[in-house]
Parts: sequence; structure tokens; C-alpha cells
Amino acid sequence: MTNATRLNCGLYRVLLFAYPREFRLRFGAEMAITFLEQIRAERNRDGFPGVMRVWLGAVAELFSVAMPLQLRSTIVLAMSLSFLWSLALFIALLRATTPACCK
Amino acid sequence: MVYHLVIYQNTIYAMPSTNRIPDNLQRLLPLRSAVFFILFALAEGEKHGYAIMQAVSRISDHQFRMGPGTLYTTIQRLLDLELIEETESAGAHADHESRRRSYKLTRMGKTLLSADVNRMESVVRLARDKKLVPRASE
Repeated sequence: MTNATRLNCGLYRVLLFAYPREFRLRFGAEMAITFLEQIRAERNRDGFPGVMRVWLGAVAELFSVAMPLQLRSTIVLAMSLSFLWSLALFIALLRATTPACCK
Repeated sequence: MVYHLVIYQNTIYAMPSTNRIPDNLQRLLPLRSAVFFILFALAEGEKHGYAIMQAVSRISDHQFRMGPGTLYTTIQRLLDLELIEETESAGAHADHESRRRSYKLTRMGKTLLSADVNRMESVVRLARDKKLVPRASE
């Protein structure tokens, strides 16, 4: 394994932490292997731009795949809703208590 | 042989009763692109993740690409629905190879794929009848 491959692999494994734990434990190793094969193939075909394209795809999947998966988990959903509710309440209280001259 | 008429989104096609799709899988039709292409790729034979990715790219004429995130979340869903199944890894040469799993289509997966292909075929036939697309011979 070259240094570049090791770096790509290490960085991608960090990205995998954005996926739910259970999913990561089941498919994380395979995902890393598949990602490395994608990187190798694109590097041989297109060089650096190809590698960047694969990385862009991986980062885009954080928003299109990993985040929705996390939100599906009830605990995270409950925490998100609780946070949004607290934020709304805080803003409402702030507006109500701010004197008219400061508005 | 007894045939059931499956009515789906203004499309009517006949299916043998032996290949009836359970109600919980009916709601998957029409298949999402990722599901369709993965099932299609596995219809060619069992494959591991990267081979599926390559096959999908080839089958879709490089129009549909997916990363490992999309691939494995879809694989997880298809495994849970028993449309595909894991098989023993053929290669165990390197350390990482031993962790590699291959996947193959189950009978229900094949049935669902052919139902979607039939649905598309019916739509194309309907479009040709209504002269929305030219006939293949034209």
C-alpha cells in the first residue's frame, strides 16, 4: 500500500464516522475497499482530477446518504427536534424581552 | 396457467401466479434507479461491491454513477427485503479480501426485477401505440 493509498484510506475511514454505527460496523470495511478500488481506477484513468471526482462524490454522499440515515435514527431525530424546539423558544423569549428601543 | 392482472399506474400486464409479488414489495415499484441498476447488475451473476459499481456504470452507459454510500445503503435495504443474499467470498488472498462479501439475486429479487422490466416494456408499448415515440423499426 502506497502512502497516497494509505492517506486516502485513512481519510475515508474518518468520513465513515458520519454513518450510523451499526451500518458502519456491518459495511464500513467493504465500503473502504470499494472506495480504494474506485480511487485506483480513476487515478489510472484520469489522474488527479479523477481522484478529486471520487472524493467529491464521497463528500456529497455525507449529505445525501449519511445524514438522512442518521436522522432516521430515533434518538438523533428526538435530539434534533428538541434542539429546534429549544432554539425557537429561545428566539421567541429573546424577542419578547428585548425592549422596543433596541428592536 | 392462471394469470393475474397486475394493474399499476395505468399499466396492465399479466404475470404468472407463481411469480406473484408480495404486497410489501409491490410498494417498491417502480424501482428507484439505484435499486433497479443493482438488481440488474446482479442478474448477470454474483458480484462484490466494486464489481456491482462497475456493472452499473456499464449498464447505464455511464449515465448513472454511485458511490460506496449509496451502494451499501441500497445493498443493506435489499438484504433486509431478501431480494439479494450474501455469498461466500471467492478470494481470500489478502487481509482485506477476506472481509469482502459477494451478493447474488434471490428468486424474489429476480421476480421484482422482471416485474419492473415488464412495467417499462408496457409503458414503451403504450407510448408507441400513442405514437409518442417512434417504433423500433422506424
